[in-house]
Amino acid sequence: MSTESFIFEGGPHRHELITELIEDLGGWIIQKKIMAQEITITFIIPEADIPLVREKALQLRGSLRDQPLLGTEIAVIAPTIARHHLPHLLCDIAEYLRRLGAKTNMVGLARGVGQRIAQISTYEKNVIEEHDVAVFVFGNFEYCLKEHKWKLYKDLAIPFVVTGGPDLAAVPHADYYIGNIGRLPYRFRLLDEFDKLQQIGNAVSKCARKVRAALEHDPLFLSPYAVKEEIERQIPEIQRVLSPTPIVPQIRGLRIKLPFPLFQEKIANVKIGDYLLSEIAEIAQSNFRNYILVKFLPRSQIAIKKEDNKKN
Amino acid sequence: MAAENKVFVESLDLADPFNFGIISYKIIADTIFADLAVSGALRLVRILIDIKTPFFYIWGEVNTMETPIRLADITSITLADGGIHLVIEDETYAPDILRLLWAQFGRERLTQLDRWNLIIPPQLTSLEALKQMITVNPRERIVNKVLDAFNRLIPEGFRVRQSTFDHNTITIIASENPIQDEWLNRVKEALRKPPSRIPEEYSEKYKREPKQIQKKIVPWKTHEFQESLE
Repeated sequence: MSTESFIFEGGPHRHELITELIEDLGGWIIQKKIMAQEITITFIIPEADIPLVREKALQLRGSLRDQPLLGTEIAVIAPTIARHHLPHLLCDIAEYLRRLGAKTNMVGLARGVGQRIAQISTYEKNVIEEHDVAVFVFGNFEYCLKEHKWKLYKDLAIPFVVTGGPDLAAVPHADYYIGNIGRLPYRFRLLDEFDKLQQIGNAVSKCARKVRAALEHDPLFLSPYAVKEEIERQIPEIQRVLSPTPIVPQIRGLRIKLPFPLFQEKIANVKIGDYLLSEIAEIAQSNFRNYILVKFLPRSQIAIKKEDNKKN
Repeated sequence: MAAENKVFVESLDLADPFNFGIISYKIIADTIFADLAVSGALRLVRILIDIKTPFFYIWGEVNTMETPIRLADITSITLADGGIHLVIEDETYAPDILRLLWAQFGRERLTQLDRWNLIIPPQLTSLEALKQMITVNPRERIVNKVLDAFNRLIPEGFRVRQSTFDHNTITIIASENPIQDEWLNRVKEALRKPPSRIPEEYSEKYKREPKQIQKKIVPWKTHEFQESLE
Protein backbone atom coordinates (compact mmCIF):
# COMPACT_ATOMS: atom_id res chain seq x y z
CA MET A 1 0.00 0.00 0.00
CA SER A 2 1.67 3.14 -1.07
CA THR A 3 0.89 6.19 1.00
CA GLU A 4 1.07 9.94 0.53
CA SER A 5 1.66 12.53 3.20
CA PHE A 6 0.06 15.95 3.51
CA ILE A 7 -0.28 18.89 5.82
CA PHE A 8 -3.73 20.42 6.35
CA GLU A 9 -3.92 24.09 7.24
CA GLY A 10 -7.23 25.66 8.16
CA GLY A 11 -9.53 26.69 10.98
CA PRO A 12 -10.09 24.45 14.01
CA HIS A 13 -13.88 24.64 13.58
CA ARG A 14 -15.17 21.15 12.68
CA HIS A 15 -11.64 19.89 12.11
CA GLU A 16 -12.63 16.58 13.70
CA LEU A 17 -14.41 15.81 10.42
CA ILE A 18 -11.07 15.54 8.66
CA THR A 19 -9.33 13.69 11.50
CA GLU A 20 -12.16 11.15 11.59
CA LEU A 21 -11.98 10.72 7.84
CA ILE A 22 -8.23 10.10 8.00
CA GLU A 23 -8.70 7.51 10.73
CA ASP A 24 -11.50 5.82 8.79
CA LEU A 25 -9.32 5.58 5.71
CA GLY A 26 -6.62 3.85 7.69
CA GLY A 27 -4.23 6.77 7.69
CA TRP A 28 -2.14 8.15 10.54
CA ILE A 29 -2.19 11.56 12.09
CA ILE A 30 1.40 12.46 12.87
CA GLN A 31 0.87 15.81 14.49
CA LYS A 32 -2.07 18.03 15.35
CA LYS A 33 -1.42 21.57 16.46
CA ILE A 34 -4.06 24.17 17.31
CA MET A 35 -2.71 27.69 17.58
CA ALA A 36 -5.43 30.32 18.15
CA GLN A 37 -7.57 30.36 15.02
CA GLU A 38 -5.43 27.99 13.03
CA ILE A 39 -4.90 24.29 12.96
CA THR A 40 -2.22 22.30 11.21
CA ILE A 41 -2.55 18.55 10.89
CA THR A 42 0.18 16.41 9.36
CA PHE A 43 -1.10 13.05 8.24
CA ILE A 44 -0.55 10.08 5.99
CA ILE A 45 -3.26 8.46 3.87
CA PRO A 46 -3.37 5.70 1.25
CA GLU A 47 -2.71 7.06 -2.22
CA ALA A 48 -6.06 5.90 -3.57
CA ASP A 49 -8.04 8.02 -1.09
CA ILE A 50 -6.48 11.39 -1.87
CA PRO A 51 -9.59 12.77 -3.68
CA LEU A 52 -11.78 12.10 -0.63
CA VAL A 53 -9.50 14.05 1.67
CA ARG A 54 -9.09 16.85 -0.84
CA GLU A 55 -12.83 17.26 -1.01
CA LYS A 56 -13.15 17.29 2.77
CA ALA A 57 -10.40 19.90 3.03
CA LEU A 58 -12.26 21.99 0.50
CA GLN A 59 -15.48 21.75 2.50
CA LEU A 60 -13.61 22.97 5.57
CA ARG A 61 -12.05 25.86 3.58
CA GLY A 62 -8.59 24.66 4.43
CA SER A 63 -5.59 23.96 2.26
CA LEU A 64 -3.54 20.86 1.63
CA ARG A 65 0.18 20.87 1.01
CA ASP A 66 2.34 17.98 -0.08
CA GLN A 67 4.87 16.70 2.45
CA PRO A 68 7.00 14.39 0.34
CA LEU A 69 9.59 13.87 3.07
CA LEU A 70 7.31 13.18 6.01
CA GLY A 71 8.57 10.29 8.11
CA THR A 72 12.17 10.53 6.98
CA GLU A 73 15.22 11.52 8.97
CA ILE A 74 17.82 13.37 6.95
CA ALA A 75 21.41 14.26 7.76
CA VAL A 76 22.68 17.58 6.40
CA ILE A 77 26.45 17.36 6.46
CA ALA A 78 29.13 20.05 6.39
CA PRO A 79 32.90 19.48 6.25
CA THR A 80 33.22 21.05 9.73
CA ILE A 81 31.14 23.27 11.95
CA ALA A 82 33.40 26.32 11.59
CA ARG A 83 31.89 29.57 10.38
CA HIS A 84 33.28 28.93 6.91
CA HIS A 85 30.52 26.36 6.38
CA LEU A 86 27.87 27.38 8.87
CA PRO A 87 25.36 28.87 9.38
CA HIS A 88 23.94 30.33 6.19
CA LEU A 89 23.81 27.52 3.71
CA LEU A 90 23.42 24.56 6.02
CA CYS A 91 20.61 26.16 8.01
CA ASP A 92 18.77 27.16 4.85
CA ILE A 93 18.91 23.66 3.43
CA ALA A 94 17.98 21.99 6.72
CA GLU A 95 15.07 24.38 7.26
CA TYR A 96 13.75 23.89 3.75
CA LEU A 97 13.83 20.11 4.14
CA ARG A 98 11.92 20.52 7.40
CA ARG A 99 9.24 22.40 5.52
CA LEU A 100 8.91 19.40 3.24
CA GLY A 101 8.16 17.29 6.32
CA ALA A 102 11.55 15.77 7.11
CA LYS A 103 13.28 15.63 10.46
CA THR A 104 16.76 16.95 9.78
CA ASN A 105 19.93 16.67 11.79
CA MET A 106 22.96 18.79 11.02
CA VAL A 107 26.19 16.85 11.13
CA GLY A 108 29.60 18.51 11.16
CA LEU A 109 32.49 16.21 10.37
CA ALA A 110 35.69 16.52 12.38
CA ARG A 111 38.14 16.50 9.44
CA GLY A 112 36.10 16.95 6.29
CA VAL A 113 38.04 20.02 5.13
CA GLY A 114 40.82 20.33 2.61
CA GLN A 115 41.91 18.07 -0.21
CA ARG A 116 44.53 15.53 0.84
CA ILE A 117 43.56 15.82 4.51
CA ALA A 118 39.81 15.31 4.04
CA GLN A 119 38.64 12.19 5.83
CA ILE A 120 35.64 10.62 7.49
CA SER A 121 35.82 8.25 10.46
CA THR A 122 33.88 5.03 10.94
CA TYR A 123 32.02 6.57 13.84
CA GLU A 124 30.90 9.49 11.70
CA LYS A 125 29.88 7.10 8.95
CA ASN A 126 27.81 5.10 11.43
CA VAL A 127 26.11 8.26 12.67
CA ILE A 128 25.24 9.26 9.10
CA GLU A 129 24.03 5.79 8.17
CA GLU A 130 21.43 5.90 10.92
CA HIS A 131 19.55 8.37 8.74
CA ASP A 132 17.46 7.64 5.66
CA VAL A 133 19.09 10.13 3.30
CA ALA A 134 22.20 12.36 3.56
CA VAL A 135 22.88 15.76 1.98
CA PHE A 136 26.54 16.78 1.63
CA VAL A 137 27.17 20.50 1.37
CA PHE A 138 30.52 21.25 -0.25
CA GLY A 139 32.42 24.30 -1.47
CA ASN A 140 33.25 26.22 -4.58
CA PHE A 141 36.13 24.58 -6.39
CA GLU A 142 35.53 22.13 -9.20
CA TYR A 143 38.93 20.53 -8.72
CA CYS A 144 38.20 19.67 -5.06
CA LEU A 145 34.80 18.20 -5.86
CA LYS A 146 36.08 16.09 -8.73
CA GLU A 147 39.35 14.88 -7.27
CA HIS A 148 39.11 14.81 -3.51
CA LYS A 149 35.75 15.22 -1.81
CA TRP A 150 34.32 11.91 -2.98
CA LYS A 151 36.43 10.22 -0.30
CA LEU A 152 33.88 11.44 2.23
CA TYR A 153 30.79 9.86 0.72
CA LYS A 154 31.94 7.04 -1.53
CA ASP A 155 31.36 4.16 0.90
CA LEU A 156 28.04 5.31 2.39
CA ALA A 157 25.32 2.68 2.45
CA ILE A 158 22.42 5.17 2.29
CA PRO A 159 21.46 7.30 -0.73
CA PHE A 160 22.78 10.84 -0.69
CA VAL A 161 22.72 14.18 -2.51
CA VAL A 162 25.84 16.27 -3.07
CA THR A 163 25.67 20.05 -3.46
CA GLY A 164 28.47 22.36 -4.46
CA GLY A 165 29.42 25.57 -6.20
CA PRO A 166 30.34 24.83 -9.83
CA ASP A 167 27.66 24.05 -12.36
CA LEU A 168 28.59 20.45 -13.16
CA ALA A 169 26.45 17.67 -14.58
CA ALA A 170 27.72 15.17 -12.01
CA VAL A 171 30.48 14.49 -9.51
CA PRO A 172 32.23 11.12 -9.08
CA HIS A 173 30.45 8.38 -7.14
CA ALA A 174 27.29 10.45 -6.53
CA ASP A 175 23.86 9.89 -8.06
CA TYR A 176 22.61 13.41 -7.47
CA TYR A 177 24.56 16.63 -7.73
CA ILE A 178 23.05 20.12 -7.37
CA GLY A 179 25.35 22.93 -8.49
CA ASN A 180 25.44 26.71 -8.13
CA ILE A 181 25.31 26.67 -4.34
CA GLY A 182 28.77 26.29 -2.79
CA ARG A 183 30.17 28.37 0.06
CA LEU A 184 28.07 31.51 0.32
CA PRO A 185 28.36 34.44 2.70
CA TYR A 186 24.62 35.19 2.85
CA ARG A 187 21.20 33.62 3.47
CA PHE A 188 18.92 32.55 0.66
CA ARG A 189 16.27 35.21 0.10
CA LEU A 190 15.64 35.49 -3.64
CA LEU A 191 13.18 33.41 -5.61
CA ASP A 192 15.78 31.80 -7.86
CA GLU A 193 17.69 30.79 -4.73
CA PHE A 194 14.57 29.10 -3.38
CA ASP A 195 14.43 27.23 -6.67
CA LYS A 196 17.82 25.77 -5.81
CA LEU A 197 16.49 24.62 -2.42
CA GLN A 198 13.52 23.06 -4.15
CA GLN A 199 15.92 21.18 -6.44
CA ILE A 200 17.66 19.77 -3.38
CA GLY A 201 14.26 18.85 -1.92
CA ASN A 202 13.31 17.06 -5.14
CA ALA A 203 16.58 15.12 -5.22
CA VAL A 204 16.17 14.13 -1.57
CA SER A 205 12.60 12.96 -2.13
CA LYS A 206 13.82 10.92 -5.11
CA CYS A 207 16.34 9.28 -2.75
CA ALA A 208 13.62 8.63 -0.17
CA ARG A 209 11.42 7.11 -2.87
CA LYS A 210 14.29 4.84 -3.83
CA VAL A 211 14.53 3.55 -0.26
CA ARG A 212 10.77 3.02 -0.11
CA ALA A 213 10.73 1.27 -3.50
CA ALA A 214 13.45 -1.10 -2.32
CA LEU A 215 11.31 -1.90 0.71
CA GLU A 216 8.27 -2.73 -1.38
CA HIS A 217 9.73 -6.00 -2.62
CA ASP A 218 9.85 -7.25 0.94
CA PRO A 219 7.73 -4.86 3.00
CA LEU A 220 7.94 -4.14 6.69
CA PHE A 221 5.61 -5.96 9.03
CA LEU A 222 4.06 -2.71 10.22
CA SER A 223 4.32 0.97 9.46
CA PRO A 224 6.70 2.81 11.82
CA TYR A 225 3.79 5.10 12.75
CA ALA A 226 1.72 2.21 14.09
CA VAL A 227 4.64 1.08 16.23
CA LYS A 228 5.23 4.64 17.35
CA GLU A 229 1.65 4.93 18.60
CA GLU A 230 1.93 1.61 20.38
CA ILE A 231 5.17 2.63 22.12
CA GLU A 232 3.62 5.91 23.22
CA ARG A 233 0.68 4.00 24.68
CA GLN A 234 2.73 1.36 26.50
CA ILE A 235 5.68 3.41 27.76
CA PRO A 236 4.39 6.45 29.67
CA GLU A 237 7.94 7.72 30.36
CA ILE A 238 8.11 8.94 26.78
CA GLN A 239 5.90 11.86 27.76
CA ARG A 240 8.57 13.13 30.12
CA VAL A 241 11.21 13.41 27.39
CA LEU A 242 11.94 17.07 26.74
CA SER A 243 12.93 16.76 23.06
CA PRO A 244 10.36 18.16 20.63
CA THR A 245 10.08 14.79 18.90
CA PRO A 246 10.63 12.03 21.47
CA ILE A 247 10.13 9.35 18.81
CA VAL A 248 11.50 10.11 15.37
CA PRO A 249 9.92 8.02 12.62
CA GLN A 250 12.25 6.87 9.86
CA ILE A 251 11.48 4.97 6.68
CA ARG A 252 12.55 1.62 8.10
CA GLY A 253 12.76 2.27 11.79
CA LEU A 254 12.41 4.58 14.75
CA ARG A 255 14.74 6.60 16.92
CA ILE A 256 13.49 6.69 20.49
CA LYS A 257 15.01 9.38 22.69
CA LEU A 258 15.19 7.36 25.90
CA PRO A 259 18.44 6.10 27.48
CA PHE A 260 19.32 2.72 26.05
CA PRO A 261 20.61 0.94 29.21
CA LEU A 262 17.48 1.80 31.22
CA PHE A 263 14.77 1.22 28.62
CA GLN A 264 16.22 -1.53 26.45
CA GLU A 265 14.15 -4.25 28.13
CA LYS A 266 10.97 -2.24 28.18
CA ILE A 267 11.18 -1.36 24.50
CA ALA A 268 11.97 -4.95 23.57
CA ASN A 269 8.86 -6.12 25.41
CA VAL A 270 6.41 -3.69 23.81
CA LYS A 271 3.50 -5.79 22.56
CA ILE A 272 2.44 -5.31 18.97
CA GLY A 273 -0.42 -7.63 18.11
CA ASP A 274 0.79 -11.18 18.69
CA TYR A 275 4.43 -10.14 18.59
CA LEU A 276 6.92 -8.48 20.86
CA LEU A 277 8.87 -5.60 19.36
CA SER A 278 12.12 -7.54 19.69
CA GLU A 279 10.66 -10.22 17.41
CA ILE A 280 9.90 -7.87 14.54
CA ALA A 281 12.80 -5.45 14.91
CA GLU A 282 16.43 -5.08 15.87
CA ILE A 283 16.91 -2.87 18.88
CA ALA A 284 20.31 -1.23 19.21
CA GLN A 285 22.00 1.71 20.83
CA SER A 286 22.15 4.76 18.63
CA ASN A 287 25.41 6.57 17.97
CA PHE A 288 23.66 9.76 19.00
CA ARG A 289 24.07 10.02 22.77
CA ASN A 290 22.51 6.83 24.08
CA TYR A 291 19.22 6.91 22.27
CA ILE A 292 17.52 3.73 21.17
CA LEU A 293 17.51 2.82 17.50
CA VAL A 294 14.83 0.42 16.27
CA LYS A 295 15.29 -1.12 12.81
CA PHE A 296 12.30 -3.14 11.60
CA LEU A 297 12.85 -6.48 9.95
CA PRO A 298 11.15 -7.25 6.65
CA ARG A 299 8.44 -9.89 6.57
CA SER A 300 10.67 -12.60 5.12
CA GLN A 301 13.15 -12.26 7.96
CA ILE A 302 10.42 -12.37 10.58
CA ALA A 303 9.17 -15.62 9.08
CA ILE A 304 12.69 -17.10 9.18
CA LYS A 305 13.12 -16.00 12.78
CA LYS A 306 9.82 -17.60 13.74
CA GLU A 307 10.84 -20.94 12.26
CA ASP A 308 14.18 -20.78 14.01
CA ASN A 309 12.44 -20.20 17.31
CA LYS A 310 10.16 -23.21 16.71
CA LYS A 311 13.16 -25.46 16.02
CA ASN A 312 14.83 -24.40 19.22
CA MET B 1 36.53 53.92 -3.33
CA ALA B 2 34.20 51.01 -2.80
CA ALA B 3 35.55 47.74 -1.47
CA GLU B 4 34.84 45.98 -4.77
CA ASN B 5 37.50 47.99 -6.55
CA LYS B 6 40.19 47.25 -3.99
CA VAL B 7 39.89 43.49 -3.84
CA PHE B 8 41.35 41.39 -6.64
CA VAL B 9 41.04 37.63 -6.77
CA GLU B 10 43.27 35.91 -9.32
CA SER B 11 43.93 32.32 -10.24
CA LEU B 12 47.49 31.14 -10.69
CA ASP B 13 46.23 28.35 -12.93
CA LEU B 14 46.28 30.15 -16.26
CA ALA B 15 44.36 27.41 -18.06
CA ASP B 16 41.19 28.24 -16.14
CA PRO B 17 41.53 31.75 -14.73
CA PHE B 18 37.87 32.65 -14.15
CA ASN B 19 36.24 29.52 -12.79
CA PHE B 20 33.39 29.49 -10.29
CA GLY B 21 35.74 29.21 -7.32
CA ILE B 22 37.57 32.41 -8.22
CA ILE B 23 34.39 34.38 -8.85
CA SER B 24 32.76 33.18 -5.65
CA TYR B 25 35.84 34.02 -3.59
CA LYS B 26 35.58 37.58 -4.89
CA ILE B 27 31.98 37.67 -3.62
CA ILE B 28 32.97 36.13 -0.27
CA ALA B 29 35.86 38.58 0.17
CA ASP B 30 33.70 41.61 -0.62
CA THR B 31 31.03 40.47 1.83
CA ILE B 32 33.47 39.66 4.64
CA PHE B 33 35.26 43.01 4.33
CA ALA B 34 31.92 44.83 4.32
CA ASP B 35 30.62 42.80 7.30
CA LEU B 36 33.67 43.54 9.44
CA ALA B 37 33.76 47.19 8.31
CA VAL B 38 37.40 47.05 7.30
CA SER B 39 37.04 48.10 3.67
CA GLY B 40 37.86 51.69 4.66
CA ALA B 41 41.11 50.56 6.22
CA LEU B 42 42.24 48.57 3.20
CA ARG B 43 44.11 50.16 0.35
CA LEU B 44 44.54 47.10 -1.84
CA VAL B 45 44.02 43.38 -1.39
CA ARG B 46 45.27 40.74 -3.80
CA ILE B 47 44.25 37.15 -3.38
CA LEU B 48 46.10 34.53 -5.42
CA ILE B 49 44.66 31.06 -5.55
CA ASP B 50 46.24 27.89 -6.87
CA ILE B 51 43.76 25.15 -6.10
CA LYS B 52 45.73 22.31 -7.65
CA THR B 53 48.98 22.64 -5.67
CA PRO B 54 47.11 23.77 -3.45
CA PHE B 55 47.81 27.13 -1.80
CA PHE B 56 46.05 30.36 -1.05
CA TYR B 57 47.91 33.67 -0.85
CA ILE B 58 46.64 37.01 0.47
CA TRP B 59 48.50 40.26 0.15
CA GLY B 60 46.86 43.23 1.87
CA GLU B 61 47.91 46.85 2.17
CA VAL B 62 46.44 48.63 5.18
CA ASN B 63 45.82 52.33 5.68
CA THR B 64 47.39 53.33 8.99
CA MET B 65 46.99 57.09 8.87
CA GLU B 66 45.61 57.54 12.37
CA THR B 67 48.07 58.41 15.14
CA PRO B 68 47.87 56.65 18.49
CA ILE B 69 45.66 58.24 21.14
CA ARG B 70 47.57 59.36 24.24
CA LEU B 71 46.19 59.75 27.73
CA ALA B 72 46.38 63.54 27.55
CA ASP B 73 44.02 63.58 24.55
CA ILE B 74 41.10 61.98 26.33
CA THR B 75 41.60 62.90 30.00
CA SER B 76 42.47 65.97 31.98
CA ILE B 77 45.31 65.38 34.42
CA THR B 78 46.10 67.70 37.33
CA LEU B 79 48.30 67.52 40.38
CA ALA B 80 46.19 67.91 43.53
CA ASP B 81 46.86 67.47 47.25
CA GLY B 82 45.93 63.80 47.50
CA GLY B 83 47.79 62.75 44.35
CA ILE B 84 47.41 62.99 40.59
CA HIS B 85 43.79 63.67 39.71
CA LEU B 86 42.65 62.13 36.43
CA VAL B 87 39.27 62.97 34.89
CA ILE B 88 38.03 60.86 31.97
CA GLU B 89 36.53 63.22 29.44
CA ASP B 90 35.66 60.78 26.65
CA GLU B 91 33.93 57.88 28.29
CA THR B 92 34.08 55.63 25.20
CA TYR B 93 37.76 55.05 26.04
CA ALA B 94 37.13 54.40 29.76
CA PRO B 95 37.70 50.62 29.55
CA ASP B 96 40.96 51.15 27.66
CA ILE B 97 42.17 53.75 30.18
CA LEU B 98 41.36 51.56 33.15
CA ARG B 99 42.93 48.49 31.57
CA LEU B 100 46.11 50.46 30.89
CA LEU B 101 46.36 52.01 34.36
CA TRP B 102 45.59 48.78 36.17
CA ALA B 103 48.25 46.98 34.19
CA GLN B 104 50.74 49.75 34.81
CA PHE B 105 50.25 50.56 38.50
CA GLY B 106 48.13 47.76 39.96
CA ARG B 107 44.42 47.89 40.59
CA GLU B 108 44.63 48.23 44.38
CA ARG B 109 46.80 51.36 44.29
CA LEU B 110 44.34 53.44 42.29
CA THR B 111 41.40 55.13 43.94
CA GLN B 112 38.39 55.33 41.69
CA LEU B 113 35.93 57.87 43.04
CA ASP B 114 33.20 57.42 40.44
CA ARG B 115 32.82 56.69 36.74
CA TRP B 116 35.03 59.57 35.66
CA ASN B 117 37.41 60.42 38.52
CA LEU B 118 40.58 58.59 39.43
CA ILE B 119 43.36 59.38 41.87
CA ILE B 120 46.85 58.03 41.30
CA PRO B 121 49.45 58.25 44.13
CA PRO B 122 52.10 60.84 43.14
CA GLN B 123 55.07 58.63 43.94
CA LEU B 124 54.13 56.13 41.21
CA THR B 125 54.65 58.35 38.19
CA SER B 126 55.24 61.83 36.95
CA LEU B 127 52.64 64.10 35.38
CA GLU B 128 54.44 64.25 32.03
CA ALA B 129 55.00 60.51 31.76
CA LEU B 130 51.34 59.92 32.46
CA LYS B 131 50.23 62.35 29.76
CA GLN B 132 52.38 60.63 27.14
CA MET B 133 51.02 57.11 27.76
CA ILE B 134 49.49 55.47 24.66
CA THR B 135 45.96 54.42 25.52
CA VAL B 136 44.67 53.17 22.20
CA ASN B 137 46.63 52.25 19.13
CA PRO B 138 44.20 52.43 16.18
CA ARG B 139 46.70 50.69 13.97
CA GLU B 140 46.67 47.62 16.19
CA ARG B 141 42.89 47.55 16.22
CA ILE B 142 42.65 47.81 12.46
CA VAL B 143 45.33 45.23 11.85
CA ASN B 144 43.58 42.81 14.21
CA LYS B 145 40.32 43.32 12.34
CA VAL B 146 42.00 42.78 8.98
CA LEU B 147 43.68 39.61 10.24
CA ASP B 148 40.31 38.37 11.45
CA ALA B 149 38.84 39.03 8.03
CA PHE B 150 41.69 37.18 6.33
CA ASN B 151 41.26 34.22 8.66
CA ARG B 152 37.60 34.02 7.76
CA LEU B 153 38.49 34.16 4.10
CA ILE B 154 41.15 31.47 3.90
CA PRO B 155 39.66 28.00 3.29
CA GLU B 156 39.46 26.15 6.56
CA GLY B 157 41.47 23.15 5.43
CA PHE B 158 44.56 25.25 4.74
CA ARG B 159 46.04 25.14 8.20
CA VAL B 160 49.74 25.43 7.45
CA ARG B 161 50.32 29.16 7.35
CA GLN B 162 53.19 31.56 6.99
CA SER B 163 52.59 35.23 7.50
CA THR B 164 54.78 38.26 7.10
CA PHE B 165 53.96 41.60 8.57
CA ASP B 166 55.65 44.73 7.25
CA HIS B 167 55.07 48.37 8.00
CA ASN B 168 51.63 48.40 6.42
CA THR B 169 51.35 45.23 4.41
CA ILE B 170 50.13 41.87 5.63
CA THR B 171 50.78 38.70 3.65
CA ILE B 172 49.58 35.23 4.47
CA ILE B 173 50.25 32.09 2.53
CA ALA B 174 48.18 29.08 3.55
CA SER B 175 48.16 25.49 2.43
CA GLU B 176 47.48 22.00 3.73
CA ASN B 177 51.01 20.87 2.83
CA PRO B 178 54.35 22.25 4.01
CA ILE B 179 54.97 25.56 2.25
CA GLN B 180 57.67 25.49 -0.40
CA ASP B 181 59.93 28.27 -1.65
CA GLU B 182 58.96 27.54 -5.22
CA TRP B 183 55.39 28.66 -4.49
CA LEU B 184 56.63 31.91 -2.99
CA ASN B 185 58.65 32.56 -6.15
CA ARG B 186 55.56 31.99 -8.28
CA VAL B 187 53.61 34.37 -6.08
CA LYS B 188 56.31 37.02 -6.35
CA GLU B 189 56.23 36.77 -10.10
CA ALA B 190 52.46 37.06 -10.17
CA LEU B 191 52.52 40.09 -7.86
CA ARG B 192 54.84 41.91 -10.26
CA LYS B 193 52.04 42.07 -12.81
CA PRO B 194 49.26 44.61 -12.22
CA PRO B 195 46.12 43.17 -10.59
CA SER B 196 43.60 41.85 -13.07
CA ARG B 197 39.87 42.19 -12.66
CA ILE B 198 37.39 39.38 -13.34
CA PRO B 199 35.70 40.31 -16.65
CA GLU B 200 32.03 41.28 -16.47
CA GLU B 201 30.87 38.49 -18.74
CA TYR B 202 32.09 35.89 -16.23
CA SER B 203 30.93 37.49 -13.01
CA GLU B 204 27.60 38.83 -14.31
CA LYS B 205 25.95 35.44 -14.11
CA TYR B 206 26.63 35.16 -10.39
CA LYS B 207 25.62 38.67 -9.35
CA ARG B 208 23.10 38.53 -6.56
CA GLU B 209 20.08 40.45 -7.73
CA PRO B 210 16.42 39.56 -8.22
CA LYS B 211 15.99 37.82 -11.54
CA GLN B 212 12.80 37.51 -13.49
CA ILE B 213 11.23 34.10 -13.13
CA GLN B 214 8.74 32.74 -15.66
CA LYS B 215 7.07 30.47 -13.14
CA LYS B 216 3.83 31.49 -11.41
CA ILE B 217 4.54 31.99 -7.72
CA VAL B 218 1.87 30.74 -5.34
CA PRO B 219 1.69 32.35 -1.90
CA TRP B 220 2.30 30.23 1.17
CA LYS B 221 -1.31 29.60 2.11
CA THR B 222 -3.51 29.55 -0.95
CA HIS B 223 -6.36 27.28 -1.79
CA GLU B 224 -4.64 26.57 -5.06
CA PHE B 225 -6.27 23.22 -5.57
CA GLN B 226 -9.80 24.57 -5.28
CA GLU B 227 -10.05 25.68 -8.89
CA SER B 228 -9.00 22.26 -10.05
CA LEU B 229 -11.87 20.70 -8.13
CA GLU B 230 -14.67 23.00 -9.18
